[in-house]
Amino acid sequence: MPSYYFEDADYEAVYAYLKNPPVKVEVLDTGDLLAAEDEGIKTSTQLMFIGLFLLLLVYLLTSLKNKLKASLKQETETISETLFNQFNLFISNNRNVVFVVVASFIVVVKFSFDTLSGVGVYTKYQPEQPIAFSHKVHAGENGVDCNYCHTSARKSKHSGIPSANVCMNCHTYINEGTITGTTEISKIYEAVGFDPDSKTYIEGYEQQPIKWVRIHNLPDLSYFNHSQHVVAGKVECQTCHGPIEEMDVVYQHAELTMGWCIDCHRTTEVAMEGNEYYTELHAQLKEKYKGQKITVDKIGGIECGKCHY
Amino acid sequence: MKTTKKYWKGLAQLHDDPIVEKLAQNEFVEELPVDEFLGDKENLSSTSSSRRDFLKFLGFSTAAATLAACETPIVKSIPYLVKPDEIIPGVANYYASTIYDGRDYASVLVKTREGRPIKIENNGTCSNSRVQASVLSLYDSARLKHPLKSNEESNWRTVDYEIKEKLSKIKNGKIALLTSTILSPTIKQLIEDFGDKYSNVEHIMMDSTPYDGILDANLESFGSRLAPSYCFDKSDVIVSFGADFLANWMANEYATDYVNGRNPKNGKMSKHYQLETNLSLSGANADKRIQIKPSEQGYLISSLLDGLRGEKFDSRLSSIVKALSSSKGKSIVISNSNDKNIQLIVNAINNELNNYTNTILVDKPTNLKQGNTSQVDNLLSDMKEGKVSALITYNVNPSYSYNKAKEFNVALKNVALKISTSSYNDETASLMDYVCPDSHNLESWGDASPKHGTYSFMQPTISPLFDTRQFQETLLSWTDRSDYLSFLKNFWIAKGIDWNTTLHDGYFNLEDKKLRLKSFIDRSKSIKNSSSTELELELYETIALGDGYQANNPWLQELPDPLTRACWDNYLTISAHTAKEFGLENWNVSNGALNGSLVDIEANGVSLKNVPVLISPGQAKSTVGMAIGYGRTKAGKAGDGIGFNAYPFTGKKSISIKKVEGEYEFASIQLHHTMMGRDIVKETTLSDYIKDPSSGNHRETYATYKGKLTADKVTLYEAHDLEIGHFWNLSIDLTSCIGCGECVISCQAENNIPVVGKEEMRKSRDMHWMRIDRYFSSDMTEELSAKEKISMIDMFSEMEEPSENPEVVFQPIMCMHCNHAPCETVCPVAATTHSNEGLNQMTYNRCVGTRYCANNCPYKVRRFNWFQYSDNDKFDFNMNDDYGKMVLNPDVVVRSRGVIEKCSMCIQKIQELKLNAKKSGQPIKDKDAQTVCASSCSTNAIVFGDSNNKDSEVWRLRNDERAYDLLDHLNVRPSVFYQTKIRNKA
Repeated sequence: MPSYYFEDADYEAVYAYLKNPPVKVEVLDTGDLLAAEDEGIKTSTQLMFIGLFLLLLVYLLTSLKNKLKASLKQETETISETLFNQFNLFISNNRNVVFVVVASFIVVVKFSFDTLSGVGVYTKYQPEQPIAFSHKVHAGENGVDCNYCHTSARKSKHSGIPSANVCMNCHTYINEGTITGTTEISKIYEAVGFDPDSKTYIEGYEQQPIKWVRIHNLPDLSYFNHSQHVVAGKVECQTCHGPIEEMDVVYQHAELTMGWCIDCHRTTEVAMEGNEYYTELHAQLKEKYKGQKITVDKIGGIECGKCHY
Repeated sequence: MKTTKKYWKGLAQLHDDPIVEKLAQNEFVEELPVDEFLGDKENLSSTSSSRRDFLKFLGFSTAAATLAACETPIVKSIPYLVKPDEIIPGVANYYASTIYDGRDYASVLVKTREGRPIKIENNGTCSNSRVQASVLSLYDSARLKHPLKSNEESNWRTVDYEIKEKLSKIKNGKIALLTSTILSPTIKQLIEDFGDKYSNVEHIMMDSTPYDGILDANLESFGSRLAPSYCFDKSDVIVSFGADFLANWMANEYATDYVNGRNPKNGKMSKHYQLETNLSLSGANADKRIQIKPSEQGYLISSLLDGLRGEKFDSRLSSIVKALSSSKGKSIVISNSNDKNIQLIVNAINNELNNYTNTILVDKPTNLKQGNTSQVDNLLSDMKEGKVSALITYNVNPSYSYNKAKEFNVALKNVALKISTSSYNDETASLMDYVCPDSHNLESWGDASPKHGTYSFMQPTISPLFDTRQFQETLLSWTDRSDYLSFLKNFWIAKGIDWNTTLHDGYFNLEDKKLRLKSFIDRSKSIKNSSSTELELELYETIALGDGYQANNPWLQELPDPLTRACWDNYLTISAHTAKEFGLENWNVSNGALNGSLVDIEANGVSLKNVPVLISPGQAKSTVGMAIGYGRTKAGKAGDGIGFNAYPFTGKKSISIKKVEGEYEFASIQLHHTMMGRDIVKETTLSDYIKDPSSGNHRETYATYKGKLTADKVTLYEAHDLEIGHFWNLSIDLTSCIGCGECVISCQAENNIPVVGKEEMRKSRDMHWMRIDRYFSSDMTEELSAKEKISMIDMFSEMEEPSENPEVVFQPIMCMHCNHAPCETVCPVAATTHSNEGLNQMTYNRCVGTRYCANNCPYKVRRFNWFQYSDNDKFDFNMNDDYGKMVLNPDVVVRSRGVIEKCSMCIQKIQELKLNAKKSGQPIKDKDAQTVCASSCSTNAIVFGDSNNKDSEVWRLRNDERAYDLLDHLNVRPSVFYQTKIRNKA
């Protein structure tokens, strides 16, 4: 006995689909081009153009000066001599030197500070995964809910990378994909020990777990709880993880620095509506912070011990 | 005026020497011919500084390569292939199970994370520190990893086949099954089945501390060899002759009832008399303690019976006789004597007082002690005569704990087939032919009946870590069956148990068939006074190690003894008076550590050399005490060589000691023993409390222009706003705290607290976040010194001396989470801050290790990580071992070297509690708010909760007259407060 129940209308719909499958629309990979257009001309290119322009200017002015000097029967200077003399003239004045040193000091310090602040910040980190799983296909086009696969996001501090049995829920029957065909899906079968032709699991197969490369890595010294943000905080996945449903290969969208977390805690209001836990607290906070928004930091959300324990 | 002076720099110049001109030209060193040098290829290759250059290049390229190779490490995330339904990574699962290791029993809830147990919680019964620590014994890499045959690695097939063959070939000899007390009905059934299959099987049970005295006495008095259960909560008077019932005597289940019978709010408390030799935990909690020698115990008990019958009795017992006579049917008299005659008198006393069926229940006996030493002795003589063909041991270690161990080891040679089922290759197993290692409780199925009519189940919480097999499966295999789980299930379903519900609950009651008991027959004979002046020995068990089974558990080795505050050792306890007689001393060395003298001890042919002596206030004169459970030789790296084996002295009464040269280094973490006249522990008596509930709770005041004010009214600081939201408070009731140390181990298990070893403990660098301070009373007081005109200096130096028979008080102390914290203001990097819920938070990653906060803490509860205690070979305990690391709690950080840590009030549990409440949309229920110290305390001395919740227990305790803050005159406004200690003194 089948464990499902189909109406006649359903059978007819399936038959109609099989008779007239929808035409595959070739999706042009315009992603790269679009990205390039959006960004505009890169800064380095702009600087290069400006540099070339300045050099041209130097050449023109020097040749002009030489022509004038020649007409006055004075010694002409080559470009390099001009540059050299002008430079010496410039640095002979102490004030200029001080200004240049201070300015370059500021530039160097700013550059070092920015570089050092960026140590450990891996925005745009986009590692290659063992199986080219595309969130765009699954979450975007097919509309699979984030929580269908990442089940523990509502229950524990880990959001959980789905175990292979979740993948097999669909891929027992879906053996071929639109973009990569059977290459990637067969990697799941290799890991689990599944024979797509006979649609059975191979007896005594030596299973190999899939070694995903973790993208969002918080250091051990900070505690982050997914279920707190997802359930109690009612934060959408996309707020921190970016437009996942548009990513073929997932990259880290947010900085994940402490400052970034604190900024959000300072501006986001606590979701107290309908939650009996907050009834008394809400009344007390309304008293204390008359008229202000009750953001997360007002209930202690930026205290050290909330994340570092 | 034109000067005609001539100036010159040297005689040469004066005389216009031409050399001056020449040198003036060459004043400045001419340019080095670098270009020439570098262009000269021949010269270059033959230069002698190439070694230096080589090193420069090497260093530079190494540095460059290292820098270039600095990549972000790739973190892999590897999920399950098929995730088990019940495991959600990050969420703990709790399973109800039982811990029974042959000595300690408890029904527990095991907290597991990702399929491995990390913490043990109580499940309705009293437990103790050894039960809490048994989770670490599961991850002991000293456990046997596979069966052994002749001390070499083997496998189950070989071992089973050979054993079955050899067993079936036995024709004339006995097959002896030597086990600990068996609580499990299924094991008893399996042993019977084993006896059916093989001929001549004899099952002998052995307890490491024999209780034959009580068991045999009850056999004569009631016709059944049993030990009754005691209702301490129903007793008004408790008289114990040496029985440390709060810690180690009989069953570890009395503490809860005892404390329930001593709630001052009820207006009455039980009156506890303790007559003993060594200062024990029960003696420390007694209302009146009398010191006696072991040889006097029998006489005094006999005299007590005389007194109750109206005859003459010893004067020391006068208040006891009076108290007992006026509370018939509501008292308990017990003794730790193993002499049947003495126990017969005790039975007669209890019968005289009408205690049976009221406070002492023989129809509900405890099953925890069923050992029969005479049977063991008979087994030994049979072994010597070669009548035993096979010996199988289970949960016993006779080569270590049997007092005739030496003879036993020799007699083993006469036994043809020797099998041990020990989990370790311990002292006995290493002498056996086959070792079939038993799995740990946490890996096994099972059942247990600690008391008549009460049962509990044991279920595995992790697959066996090693190739071990539980004893029940072994017995099944040797009777050609398998699958103990089905056996267990069918056994209980046949008795009408709903398997799933009961397994979930963990314990259940079942009407057992009534015991056939005779009515009481008095067989007692009076005992005359036989006082001796010889030095006498009384053996005892420490609360940390018990009988020594878990000697390889570093948590237990490091747990400071509640009375001596020493750890990683055992020693001879002796009174100050007797120590002076023998010229023995204890002194503190320059870093504060304690050192002691050494003695050789000898008793009837048994001797030990170079045993350290610890002067122990409370020890009776002319007596010494020694703890069993130490001196193991095959326990594992943490337990071997710690202390001295006192088991051979079992049964020896008089002892002689001789001082020898040398000094011993103790690891004692409390250097001062008295409160020096301060009211650190505020106490009062019951009668004063009844008259005035706030008695004893005197607060110091400061003289101000507004009159006398308590410290909290004289303050410069603004208070934190703690009225909104939660305000977490912890209440510690000093009347209920018995000092057992279960909370300390519980905290260590939950918070990944490292073990530091004896050397560091000596330097007072213990890492326990909470400690239990023990204070002795002193004879000198301020009033006395004023009366007798003793000078201040003399007064203080005498105050340091505890009395001969002191009163003892225990005070658990951890971070007070002060709301005006002295530590928060002095941290240069703001690593410790205050939360809006009253907690003092510690941010480990910000701490730079200044230790100013630890210096400023008035309670000295902050701990500094002097070394990296994890992954460090110099601290080779559970954090340096792959198995030992499995016990770590993933919700709590493992701290590195150089940071301060302290009690966090289980902030991980508070956050989990709040999160669950927010997720389910419900306010927090008071009984769900628990720190691990509060939840593991068997006597409910520690209560945790939100004192902004007017319905909470802790709010009620906060507003109780007995509540006080420790060192309240400092006005640090702690969130942890105490309840005064009330003694039922006359």
